[in-house]
Amino acid sequence: MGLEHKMVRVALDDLLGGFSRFDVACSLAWSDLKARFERTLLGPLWVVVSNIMLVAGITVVFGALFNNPIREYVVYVSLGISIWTFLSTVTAESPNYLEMGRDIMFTYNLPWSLQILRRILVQIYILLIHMGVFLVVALIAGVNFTPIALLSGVGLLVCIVFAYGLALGFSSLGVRYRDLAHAIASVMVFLFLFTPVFWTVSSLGESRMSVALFNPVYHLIEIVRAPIIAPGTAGLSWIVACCSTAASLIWGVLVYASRRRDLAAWMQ
Amino acid sequence: MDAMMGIIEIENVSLQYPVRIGGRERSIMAAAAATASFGRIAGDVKTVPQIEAVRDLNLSIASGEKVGLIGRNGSGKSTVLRAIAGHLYPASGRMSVNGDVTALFSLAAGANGDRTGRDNLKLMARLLKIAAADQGAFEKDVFEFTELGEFFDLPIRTYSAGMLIRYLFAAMTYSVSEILVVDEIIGAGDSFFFTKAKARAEQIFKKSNVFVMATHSEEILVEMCDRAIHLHRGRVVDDGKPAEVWRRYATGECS
Repeated sequence: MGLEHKMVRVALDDLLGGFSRFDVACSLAWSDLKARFERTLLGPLWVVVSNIMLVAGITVVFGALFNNPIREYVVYVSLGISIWTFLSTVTAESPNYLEMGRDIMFTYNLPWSLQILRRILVQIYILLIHMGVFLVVALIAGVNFTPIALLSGVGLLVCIVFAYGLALGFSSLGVRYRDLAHAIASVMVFLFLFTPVFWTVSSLGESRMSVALFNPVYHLIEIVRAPIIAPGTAGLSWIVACCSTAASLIWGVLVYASRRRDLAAWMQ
Repeated sequence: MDAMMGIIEIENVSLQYPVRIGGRERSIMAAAAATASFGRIAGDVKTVPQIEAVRDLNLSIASGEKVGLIGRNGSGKSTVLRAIAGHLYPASGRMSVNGDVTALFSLAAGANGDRTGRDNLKLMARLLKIAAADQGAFEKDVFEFTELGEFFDLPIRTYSAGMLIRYLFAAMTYSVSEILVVDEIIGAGDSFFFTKAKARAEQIFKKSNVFVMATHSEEILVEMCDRAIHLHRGRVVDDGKPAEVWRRYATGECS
Protein backbone atom coordinates (compact mmCIF):
# COMPACT_ATOMS: atom_id res chain seq x y z
CA MET A 1 0.00 0.00 0.00
CA GLY A 2 2.82 2.38 0.92
CA LEU A 3 4.40 1.85 -2.46
CA GLU A 4 1.16 2.50 -4.34
CA HIS A 5 0.64 5.67 -2.37
CA LYS A 6 4.13 6.84 -3.28
CA MET A 7 3.53 6.13 -6.97
CA VAL A 8 0.51 8.43 -7.03
CA ARG A 9 2.75 11.16 -5.63
CA VAL A 10 5.33 10.47 -8.33
CA ALA A 11 2.67 10.68 -11.03
CA LEU A 12 1.16 13.88 -9.69
CA ASP A 13 4.59 15.50 -9.30
CA ASP A 14 5.25 14.48 -12.88
CA LEU A 15 2.01 16.04 -14.12
CA LEU A 16 2.51 19.30 -12.22
CA GLY A 17 6.19 19.31 -13.16
CA GLY A 18 5.17 19.29 -16.81
CA PHE A 19 3.44 22.63 -16.28
CA SER A 20 6.28 24.11 -14.27
CA ARG A 21 8.60 23.36 -17.23
CA PHE A 22 6.08 24.74 -19.71
CA ASP A 23 8.78 26.81 -21.41
CA VAL A 24 10.61 23.61 -22.41
CA ALA A 25 7.39 22.12 -23.81
CA CYS A 26 6.91 25.27 -25.88
CA SER A 27 10.46 25.18 -27.24
CA LEU A 28 10.12 21.50 -28.13
CA ALA A 29 6.75 22.07 -29.78
CA TRP A 30 8.12 25.00 -31.71
CA SER A 31 11.08 23.00 -32.95
CA ASP A 32 8.74 20.10 -33.90
CA LEU A 33 6.70 22.51 -35.97
CA LYS A 34 9.80 24.01 -37.58
CA ALA A 35 11.17 20.55 -38.33
CA ARG A 36 7.92 19.54 -39.98
CA PHE A 37 8.08 22.37 -42.49
CA GLU A 38 11.82 22.63 -42.87
CA ARG A 39 12.99 22.97 -46.47
CA THR A 40 9.50 23.45 -47.85
CA LEU A 41 8.86 26.60 -49.81
CA LEU A 42 5.52 27.42 -48.18
CA GLY A 43 6.48 26.30 -44.67
CA PRO A 44 3.59 26.58 -42.19
CA LEU A 45 1.44 27.91 -45.03
CA TRP A 46 0.88 24.25 -45.91
CA VAL A 47 -1.41 24.08 -42.88
CA VAL A 48 -3.42 26.95 -44.37
CA VAL A 49 -3.49 25.41 -47.84
CA SER A 50 -4.74 22.01 -46.73
CA ASN A 51 -7.31 23.61 -44.43
CA ILE A 52 -8.66 25.79 -47.26
CA MET A 53 -8.79 22.78 -49.60
CA LEU A 54 -10.84 20.75 -47.16
CA VAL A 55 -13.23 23.56 -46.28
CA ALA A 56 -13.69 24.54 -49.92
CA GLY A 57 -14.29 20.96 -50.99
CA ILE A 58 -16.89 20.30 -48.32
CA THR A 59 -18.59 23.66 -48.89
CA VAL A 60 -18.93 23.13 -52.63
CA VAL A 61 -20.12 19.52 -52.52
CA PHE A 62 -22.26 19.39 -49.38
CA GLY A 63 -23.43 22.98 -49.72
CA ALA A 64 -25.03 21.95 -53.00
CA LEU A 65 -26.32 18.62 -51.64
CA PHE A 66 -27.96 20.18 -48.59
CA ASN A 67 -29.01 23.35 -50.43
CA ASN A 68 -27.26 25.48 -47.83
CA PRO A 69 -26.62 29.17 -48.50
CA ILE A 70 -22.86 29.31 -49.27
CA ARG A 71 -22.06 32.33 -47.08
CA GLU A 72 -23.39 30.82 -43.86
CA TYR A 73 -22.31 27.30 -44.68
CA VAL A 74 -18.65 28.11 -45.35
CA VAL A 75 -18.38 29.84 -41.97
CA TYR A 76 -20.02 26.87 -40.27
CA VAL A 77 -17.73 24.33 -41.94
CA SER A 78 -14.54 26.31 -41.50
CA LEU A 79 -15.04 26.64 -37.75
CA GLY A 80 -16.28 23.07 -37.26
CA ILE A 81 -13.36 21.58 -39.20
CA SER A 82 -10.80 23.50 -37.15
CA ILE A 83 -12.08 22.14 -33.85
CA TRP A 84 -12.69 18.65 -35.24
CA THR A 85 -9.16 18.48 -36.68
CA PHE A 86 -7.66 19.49 -33.36
CA LEU A 87 -9.68 17.03 -31.26
CA SER A 88 -9.34 14.11 -33.66
CA THR A 89 -5.61 14.59 -34.32
CA VAL A 90 -4.77 14.71 -30.63
CA THR A 91 -6.94 11.67 -29.90
CA ALA A 92 -5.61 9.61 -32.79
CA GLU A 93 -1.93 10.42 -32.20
CA SER A 94 -1.89 10.39 -28.41
CA PRO A 95 -1.23 6.62 -27.99
CA ASN A 96 2.21 7.30 -29.52
CA TYR A 97 3.07 10.47 -27.64
CA LEU A 98 5.26 8.85 -24.99
CA GLU A 99 6.92 6.47 -27.42
CA MET A 100 7.74 9.42 -29.69
CA GLY A 101 9.37 11.22 -26.78
CA ARG A 102 11.37 8.30 -25.41
CA ASP A 103 14.83 9.68 -26.27
CA ILE A 104 14.24 12.84 -24.30
CA MET A 105 12.39 11.04 -21.49
CA PHE A 106 15.27 8.66 -20.86
CA THR A 107 18.04 11.20 -21.32
CA TYR A 108 17.04 14.42 -19.65
CA ASN A 109 15.87 14.99 -16.13
CA LEU A 110 12.44 16.30 -17.14
CA PRO A 111 8.88 15.29 -16.26
CA TRP A 112 7.56 12.69 -18.70
CA SER A 113 4.19 14.41 -19.02
CA LEU A 114 6.09 17.18 -20.78
CA GLN A 115 6.07 14.97 -23.89
CA ILE A 116 2.27 15.00 -23.87
CA LEU A 117 2.10 18.78 -23.43
CA ARG A 118 4.62 19.19 -26.21
CA ARG A 119 2.57 17.29 -28.80
CA ILE A 120 -0.67 19.00 -27.79
CA LEU A 121 1.03 22.38 -28.11
CA VAL A 122 1.95 21.53 -31.70
CA GLN A 123 -1.73 20.88 -32.39
CA ILE A 124 -2.68 24.10 -30.58
CA TYR A 125 -0.36 26.07 -32.86
CA ILE A 126 -2.05 24.44 -35.84
CA LEU A 127 -5.48 25.12 -34.34
CA LEU A 128 -4.56 28.80 -34.02
CA ILE A 129 -3.53 28.91 -37.68
CA HIS A 130 -6.88 27.33 -38.61
CA MET A 131 -8.71 29.86 -36.46
CA GLY A 132 -6.86 32.61 -38.31
CA VAL A 133 -8.13 31.18 -41.60
CA PHE A 134 -11.62 31.03 -40.11
CA LEU A 135 -11.48 34.70 -39.10
CA VAL A 136 -10.58 35.69 -42.66
CA VAL A 137 -13.39 33.52 -44.04
CA ALA A 138 -15.84 35.00 -41.50
CA LEU A 139 -14.88 38.58 -42.34
CA ILE A 140 -15.24 37.94 -46.06
CA ALA A 141 -18.61 36.27 -45.48
CA GLY A 142 -19.70 39.29 -43.47
CA VAL A 143 -20.32 37.55 -40.13
CA ASN A 144 -21.66 39.96 -37.55
CA PHE A 145 -19.59 39.34 -34.39
CA THR A 146 -21.40 40.15 -31.13
CA PRO A 147 -19.65 40.46 -27.73
CA ILE A 148 -20.91 36.93 -27.03
CA ALA A 149 -18.42 35.69 -29.64
CA LEU A 150 -15.71 36.10 -26.99
CA LEU A 151 -17.18 33.01 -25.32
CA SER A 152 -15.73 31.02 -28.21
CA GLY A 153 -12.30 31.61 -26.70
CA VAL A 154 -13.50 30.00 -23.45
CA GLY A 155 -14.96 27.18 -25.55
CA LEU A 156 -11.57 26.63 -27.16
CA LEU A 157 -9.93 26.39 -23.75
CA VAL A 158 -12.49 23.79 -22.68
CA CYS A 159 -11.72 21.77 -25.84
CA ILE A 160 -7.98 21.95 -25.09
CA VAL A 161 -8.45 20.69 -21.53
CA PHE A 162 -10.70 17.89 -22.83
CA ALA A 163 -8.00 16.87 -25.32
CA TYR A 164 -5.32 16.98 -22.61
CA GLY A 165 -7.31 14.60 -20.41
CA LEU A 166 -7.83 12.13 -23.24
CA ALA A 167 -4.19 12.37 -24.30
CA LEU A 168 -2.98 11.63 -20.75
CA GLY A 169 -5.02 8.45 -20.62
CA PHE A 170 -4.42 7.24 -24.16
CA SER A 171 -0.70 8.00 -24.14
CA SER A 172 -0.10 5.97 -21.00
CA LEU A 173 -2.30 3.11 -22.26
CA GLY A 174 -0.65 3.28 -25.70
CA VAL A 175 2.77 2.42 -24.26
CA ARG A 176 1.52 -1.06 -23.49
CA TYR A 177 -1.34 -1.59 -25.94
CA ARG A 178 -0.09 -1.47 -29.50
CA ASP A 179 -3.53 -1.78 -31.12
CA LEU A 180 -4.98 1.22 -29.28
CA ALA A 181 -3.97 3.66 -32.02
CA HIS A 182 -5.67 1.47 -34.65
CA ALA A 183 -8.80 1.13 -32.57
CA ILE A 184 -9.02 4.88 -32.08
CA ALA A 185 -8.36 5.57 -35.77
CA SER A 186 -11.28 3.41 -36.84
CA VAL A 187 -13.61 4.98 -34.30
CA MET A 188 -12.61 8.44 -35.50
CA VAL A 189 -13.74 7.73 -39.06
CA PHE A 190 -17.12 6.67 -37.73
CA LEU A 191 -17.29 9.65 -35.40
CA PHE A 192 -16.49 12.12 -38.18
CA LEU A 193 -19.62 11.06 -40.06
CA PHE A 194 -21.72 11.20 -36.91
CA THR A 195 -20.57 14.62 -35.73
CA PRO A 196 -22.22 17.75 -37.13
CA VAL A 197 -19.12 19.21 -38.74
CA PHE A 198 -20.30 19.36 -42.33
CA TRP A 199 -24.02 18.88 -41.71
CA THR A 200 -26.31 20.67 -39.29
CA VAL A 201 -28.31 19.12 -36.47
CA SER A 202 -31.55 20.67 -37.72
CA SER A 203 -31.18 18.87 -41.07
CA LEU A 204 -31.40 15.52 -39.25
CA GLY A 205 -35.02 15.98 -38.30
CA GLU A 206 -36.53 15.35 -34.84
CA SER A 207 -36.37 11.57 -34.92
CA ARG A 208 -32.61 11.26 -35.44
CA MET A 209 -31.42 14.28 -33.54
CA SER A 210 -30.19 12.07 -30.70
CA VAL A 211 -27.28 11.00 -32.96
CA ALA A 212 -25.80 14.43 -32.32
CA LEU A 213 -27.13 15.10 -28.85
CA PHE A 214 -25.50 12.05 -27.29
CA ASN A 215 -22.15 12.84 -28.89
CA PRO A 216 -19.91 14.92 -26.58
CA VAL A 217 -17.77 16.00 -29.54
CA TYR A 218 -20.79 17.79 -30.99
CA HIS A 219 -21.17 19.79 -27.77
CA LEU A 220 -17.47 20.61 -27.64
CA ILE A 221 -17.63 21.97 -31.17
CA GLU A 222 -20.88 23.75 -30.44
CA ILE A 223 -19.50 25.78 -27.51
CA VAL A 224 -16.97 27.31 -29.90
CA ARG A 225 -19.28 27.56 -32.90
CA ALA A 226 -22.56 28.75 -31.38
CA PRO A 227 -21.29 31.97 -29.73
CA ILE A 228 -20.26 33.18 -33.18
CA ILE A 229 -22.93 31.74 -35.45
CA ALA A 230 -26.00 31.64 -33.24
CA PRO A 231 -25.21 33.57 -30.03
CA GLY A 232 -26.95 32.47 -26.88
CA THR A 233 -28.25 29.12 -28.09
CA ALA A 234 -25.83 26.58 -26.64
CA GLY A 235 -26.83 26.29 -22.98
CA LEU A 236 -27.10 22.50 -23.00
CA SER A 237 -23.84 22.18 -24.92
CA TRP A 238 -21.94 24.14 -22.28
CA ILE A 239 -23.19 21.80 -19.58
CA VAL A 240 -22.39 18.63 -21.52
CA ALA A 241 -19.02 19.93 -22.74
CA CYS A 242 -17.91 21.00 -19.26
CA CYS A 243 -19.02 17.70 -17.70
CA SER A 244 -17.28 15.71 -20.46
CA THR A 245 -14.13 17.74 -19.95
CA ALA A 246 -14.15 17.18 -16.20
CA ALA A 247 -14.69 13.46 -16.81
CA SER A 248 -11.91 13.31 -19.40
CA LEU A 249 -9.46 15.10 -17.13
CA ILE A 250 -10.25 12.93 -14.10
CA TRP A 251 -10.02 9.76 -16.18
CA GLY A 252 -6.73 10.90 -17.74
CA VAL A 253 -5.11 11.73 -14.41
CA LEU A 254 -6.27 8.44 -12.87
CA VAL A 255 -4.96 6.36 -15.78
CA TYR A 256 -1.67 8.25 -15.83
CA ALA A 257 -1.28 7.88 -12.06
CA SER A 258 -1.91 4.14 -12.17
CA ARG A 259 0.28 3.49 -15.25
CA ARG A 260 3.18 5.84 -14.56
CA ARG A 261 5.08 3.25 -12.55
CA ASP A 262 5.21 0.66 -15.33
CA LEU A 263 5.80 2.93 -18.29
CA ALA A 264 9.57 2.44 -18.42
CA ALA A 265 9.35 -1.35 -18.11
CA TRP A 266 6.98 -1.55 -21.10
CA MET A 267 9.13 0.81 -23.10
CA GLN A 268 12.32 -1.26 -22.85
CA MET B 1 20.46 14.34 5.20
CA ASP B 2 21.74 11.83 7.71
CA ALA B 3 25.49 11.72 7.35
CA MET B 4 25.57 8.00 8.11
CA MET B 5 23.04 7.13 5.44
CA GLY B 6 24.24 6.49 1.93
CA ILE B 7 23.29 8.65 -1.01
CA ILE B 8 21.85 5.57 -2.69
CA GLU B 9 20.25 2.88 -0.55
CA ILE B 10 18.93 -0.28 -2.16
CA GLU B 11 17.39 -2.92 0.11
CA ASN B 12 16.10 -6.29 -1.13
CA VAL B 13 15.12 -4.70 -4.42
CA SER B 14 13.73 -6.73 -7.30
CA LEU B 15 13.37 -5.18 -10.71
CA GLN B 16 11.19 -6.73 -13.37
CA TYR B 17 10.29 -6.39 -17.00
CA PRO B 18 7.08 -7.74 -18.51
CA VAL B 19 7.73 -10.71 -20.79
CA ARG B 20 6.14 -10.29 -24.19
CA ILE B 21 5.52 -13.58 -25.90
CA GLY B 22 2.11 -13.91 -27.47
CA GLY B 23 1.49 -10.32 -28.38
CA ARG B 24 -1.93 -10.66 -26.81
CA GLU B 25 -0.76 -8.93 -23.66
CA ARG B 26 -0.22 -5.84 -25.79
CA SER B 27 -3.74 -5.76 -27.20
CA ILE B 28 -6.33 -3.47 -25.71
CA MET B 29 -9.03 -5.51 -27.45
CA ALA B 30 -7.91 -8.60 -25.56
CA ALA B 31 -7.75 -6.63 -22.32
CA ALA B 32 -11.26 -5.30 -22.90
CA ALA B 33 -12.55 -8.80 -23.68
CA ALA B 34 -10.94 -10.15 -20.52
CA THR B 35 -12.48 -7.39 -18.40
CA ALA B 36 -15.92 -7.77 -19.95
CA SER B 37 -15.91 -11.57 -19.51
CA PHE B 38 -14.45 -11.47 -15.98
CA GLY B 39 -11.34 -13.21 -17.28
CA ARG B 40 -13.07 -16.09 -19.06
CA ILE B 41 -11.91 -14.86 -22.43
CA ALA B 42 -8.23 -13.99 -22.81
CA GLY B 43 -7.87 -13.98 -19.03
CA ASP B 44 -4.12 -14.51 -19.38
CA VAL B 45 -3.57 -10.90 -20.49
CA LYS B 46 -4.44 -9.76 -16.98
CA THR B 47 -1.39 -11.42 -15.50
CA VAL B 48 1.63 -10.73 -17.64
CA PRO B 49 4.62 -12.89 -16.73
CA GLN B 50 7.52 -10.87 -15.42
CA ILE B 51 11.20 -11.53 -15.86
CA GLU B 52 13.32 -10.61 -12.88
CA ALA B 53 16.34 -8.72 -14.16
CA VAL B 54 17.51 -7.95 -10.63
CA ARG B 55 16.72 -10.02 -7.53
CA ASP B 56 16.99 -9.11 -3.88
CA LEU B 57 19.66 -6.57 -4.52
CA ASN B 58 21.30 -4.90 -1.54
CA LEU B 59 23.57 -2.01 -2.19
CA SER B 60 24.58 1.07 -0.31
CA ILE B 61 26.55 3.78 -2.02
CA ALA B 62 28.00 6.49 0.19
CA SER B 63 28.76 10.11 -0.55
CA GLY B 64 31.91 10.48 -2.66
CA GLU B 65 32.04 6.93 -4.02
CA LYS B 66 32.88 6.23 -7.66
CA VAL B 67 31.33 2.89 -8.44
CA GLY B 68 31.85 0.70 -11.48
CA LEU B 69 29.36 -2.08 -12.28
CA ILE B 70 30.76 -5.04 -14.18
CA GLY B 71 29.29 -8.31 -15.31
CA ARG B 72 28.30 -10.15 -18.44
CA ASN B 73 25.59 -8.99 -20.82
CA GLY B 74 22.22 -9.46 -19.17
CA SER B 75 23.62 -9.41 -15.66
CA GLY B 76 21.43 -6.45 -14.71
CA LYS B 77 23.90 -3.56 -14.88
CA SER B 78 21.74 -1.32 -17.05
CA THR B 79 18.63 -2.23 -15.10
CA VAL B 80 20.23 -1.10 -11.85
CA LEU B 81 21.31 2.15 -13.50
CA ARG B 82 17.80 2.74 -14.83
CA ALA B 83 16.37 2.25 -11.36
CA ILE B 84 18.86 4.71 -9.85
CA ALA B 85 17.95 7.19 -12.59
CA GLY B 86 14.31 6.88 -11.51
CA HIS B 87 12.98 5.31 -14.71
CA LEU B 88 12.24 1.86 -13.35
CA TYR B 89 10.52 1.28 -10.04
CA PRO B 90 11.20 -1.75 -7.85
CA ALA B 91 8.58 -4.51 -7.81
CA SER B 92 9.54 -5.14 -4.20
CA GLY B 93 12.00 -3.87 -1.68
CA ARG B 94 13.01 -0.38 -0.70
CA MET B 95 15.07 2.07 -2.58
CA SER B 96 16.06 5.65 -1.89
CA VAL B 97 18.11 7.99 -4.00
CA ASN B 98 18.90 11.23 -2.20
CA GLY B 99 19.82 13.83 -4.77
CA ASP B 100 19.39 14.90 -8.36
CA VAL B 101 20.51 12.40 -10.96
CA THR B 102 22.08 13.02 -14.36
CA ALA B 103 21.85 9.93 -16.55
CA LEU B 104 24.06 9.41 -19.57
CA PHE B 105 22.38 6.50 -21.35
CA SER B 106 22.22 7.69 -24.90
CA LEU B 107 23.67 10.75 -26.47
CA ALA B 108 21.60 11.58 -29.51
CA ALA B 109 18.41 12.75 -27.80
CA GLY B 110 17.04 16.16 -28.55
CA ALA B 111 19.44 17.00 -31.39
CA ASN B 112 18.13 17.86 -34.85
CA GLY B 113 20.35 16.82 -37.75
CA ASP B 114 19.24 19.72 -39.92
CA ARG B 115 20.33 22.39 -37.45
CA THR B 116 23.84 23.65 -36.89
CA GLY B 117 25.87 22.69 -33.86
CA ARG B 118 25.35 26.15 -32.46
CA ASP B 119 21.56 26.10 -33.00
CA ASN B 120 21.12 22.69 -31.43
CA LEU B 121 22.80 23.91 -28.26
CA LYS B 122 19.99 26.45 -27.76
CA LEU B 123 17.35 23.75 -27.41
CA MET B 124 19.67 21.42 -25.51
CA ALA B 125 20.38 24.20 -23.01
CA ARG B 126 16.67 24.28 -22.20
CA LEU B 127 16.47 20.51 -21.86
CA LEU B 128 19.52 20.52 -19.60
CA LYS B 129 18.10 23.38 -17.50
CA ILE B 130 21.01 25.67 -18.27
CA ALA B 131 20.09 29.27 -17.41
CA ALA B 132 19.88 31.79 -20.24
CA ALA B 133 22.72 33.72 -18.63
CA ASP B 134 25.01 30.67 -18.93
CA GLN B 135 24.17 30.06 -22.57
CA GLY B 136 27.28 31.86 -23.80
CA ALA B 137 29.58 29.95 -21.48
CA PHE B 138 27.87 26.69 -22.50
CA GLU B 139 28.45 27.33 -26.21
CA LYS B 140 32.06 28.35 -25.61
CA ASP B 141 32.75 25.27 -23.51
CA VAL B 142 31.32 22.86 -26.08
CA PHE B 143 33.05 24.67 -28.93
CA GLU B 144 36.43 24.46 -27.22
CA PHE B 145 36.13 20.86 -26.15
CA THR B 146 34.96 19.56 -29.51
CA GLU B 147 37.43 21.56 -31.63
CA LEU B 148 34.83 21.58 -34.38
CA GLY B 149 36.04 24.84 -35.94
CA GLU B 150 33.81 25.91 -38.82
CA PHE B 151 31.76 22.72 -38.48
CA PHE B 152 30.19 24.31 -35.43
CA ASP B 153 28.06 26.41 -37.78
CA LEU B 154 27.14 23.54 -40.12
CA PRO B 155 24.18 21.16 -39.73
CA ILE B 156 25.16 18.34 -37.41
CA ARG B 157 24.20 15.72 -39.98
CA THR B 158 27.40 16.69 -41.80
CA TYR B 159 29.51 15.63 -38.80
CA SER B 160 31.50 12.41 -38.77
CA ALA B 161 30.50 9.85 -36.15
CA GLY B 162 33.46 10.81 -33.97
CA MET B 163 32.69 14.52 -34.21
CA LEU B 164 29.07 13.92 -33.30
CA ILE B 165 29.94 11.90 -30.22
CA ARG B 166 32.43 14.53 -29.08
CA TYR B 167 29.84 17.23 -29.62
CA LEU B 168 27.02 15.46 -27.79
CA PHE B 169 29.24 14.25 -24.98
CA ALA B 170 30.46 17.80 -24.39
CA ALA B 171 26.91 19.19 -24.36
CA MET B 172 25.55 16.48 -22.08
CA THR B 173 28.33 16.83 -19.53
CA TYR B 174 28.46 20.62 -19.30
CA SER B 175 26.63 20.60 -16.00
CA VAL B 176 26.07 17.45 -13.98
CA SER B 177 24.03 16.84 -10.86
CA GLU B 178 25.13 15.41 -7.58
CA ILE B 179 24.64 11.85 -8.80
CA LEU B 180 25.91 10.83 -12.21
CA VAL B 181 24.90 7.56 -13.85
CA VAL B 182 26.71 6.40 -17.00
CA ASP B 183 25.94 3.39 -19.18
CA GLU B 184 29.17 2.73 -21.07
CA ILE B 185 29.35 5.38 -23.71
CA ILE B 186 32.80 6.67 -22.99
CA GLY B 187 34.42 3.78 -24.81
CA ALA B 188 33.04 5.21 -28.06
CA GLY B 189 34.94 7.43 -30.44
CA ASP B 190 38.54 7.51 -31.59
CA SER B 191 41.51 7.23 -29.30
CA PHE B 192 42.04 10.96 -29.42
CA PHE B 193 38.51 11.45 -28.13
CA PHE B 194 39.08 8.85 -25.50
CA THR B 195 42.05 10.71 -24.04
CA LYS B 196 40.13 13.97 -24.16
CA ALA B 197 36.94 12.42 -22.88
CA LYS B 198 38.88 10.87 -20.04
CA ALA B 199 40.23 14.23 -19.01
CA ARG B 200 36.74 15.74 -19.18
CA ALA B 201 35.17 12.71 -17.57
CA GLU B 202 37.60 12.92 -14.65
CA GLN B 203 36.83 16.59 -14.34
CA ILE B 204 33.04 16.13 -14.33
CA PHE B 205 33.19 13.07 -12.12
CA LYS B 206 34.98 15.25 -9.62
CA LYS B 207 32.14 17.74 -9.83
CA SER B 208 29.54 15.07 -9.21
CA ASN B 209 29.47 13.64 -5.74
CA VAL B 210 28.51 10.08 -6.56
CA PHE B 211 29.20 8.37 -9.80
CA VAL B 212 27.91 4.96 -10.94
CA MET B 213 28.94 3.50 -14.27
CA ALA B 214 28.50 0.25 -16.12
CA THR B 215 31.54 -0.82 -18.05
CA HIS B 216 33.19 -3.69 -19.88
CA SER B 217 36.60 -2.09 -19.81
CA GLU B 218 39.21 -2.89 -17.18
CA GLU B 219 41.10 0.28 -18.01
CA ILE B 220 38.10 2.54 -17.40
CA LEU B 221 37.11 0.64 -14.27
CA VAL B 222 40.51 0.82 -12.65
CA GLU B 223 41.26 4.39 -13.62
CA MET B 224 37.92 6.00 -12.87
CA CYS B 225 36.34 4.03 -10.07
CA ASP B 226 37.33 3.38 -6.49
CA ARG B 227 34.82 0.59 -5.96
CA ALA B 228 33.74 -2.20 -8.27
CA ILE B 229 30.61 -4.32 -8.07
CA HIS B 230 30.30 -7.53 -10.01
CA LEU B 231 26.73 -8.47 -10.93
CA HIS B 232 25.74 -11.91 -12.11
CA ARG B 233 22.17 -12.79 -13.02
CA GLY B 234 20.80 -9.85 -11.12
CA ARG B 235 22.73 -10.42 -7.90
CA VAL B 236 25.87 -8.93 -6.40
CA VAL B 237 28.57 -11.61 -6.41
CA ASP B 238 31.59 -9.47 -5.65
CA ASP B 239 32.23 -6.03 -4.25
CA GLY B 240 35.55 -4.36 -3.52
CA LYS B 241 38.64 -2.69 -4.95
CA PRO B 242 38.39 -2.38 -8.75
CA ALA B 243 41.65 -4.14 -9.64
CA GLU B 244 40.89 -7.14 -7.40
CA VAL B 245 37.25 -7.46 -8.40
CA TRP B 246 38.25 -7.30 -12.06
CA ARG B 247 40.94 -9.98 -11.57
CA ARG B 248 38.48 -12.35 -9.95
CA TYR B 249 35.88 -11.55 -12.65
CA ALA B 250 38.36 -12.15 -15.48
CA THR B 251 39.70 -15.39 -14.03
CA GLY B 252 36.19 -16.64 -13.32
CA GLU B 253 36.72 -17.02 -9.60
CA CYS B 254 33.40 -15.38 -8.95
CA SER B 255 30.29 -16.30 -10.92
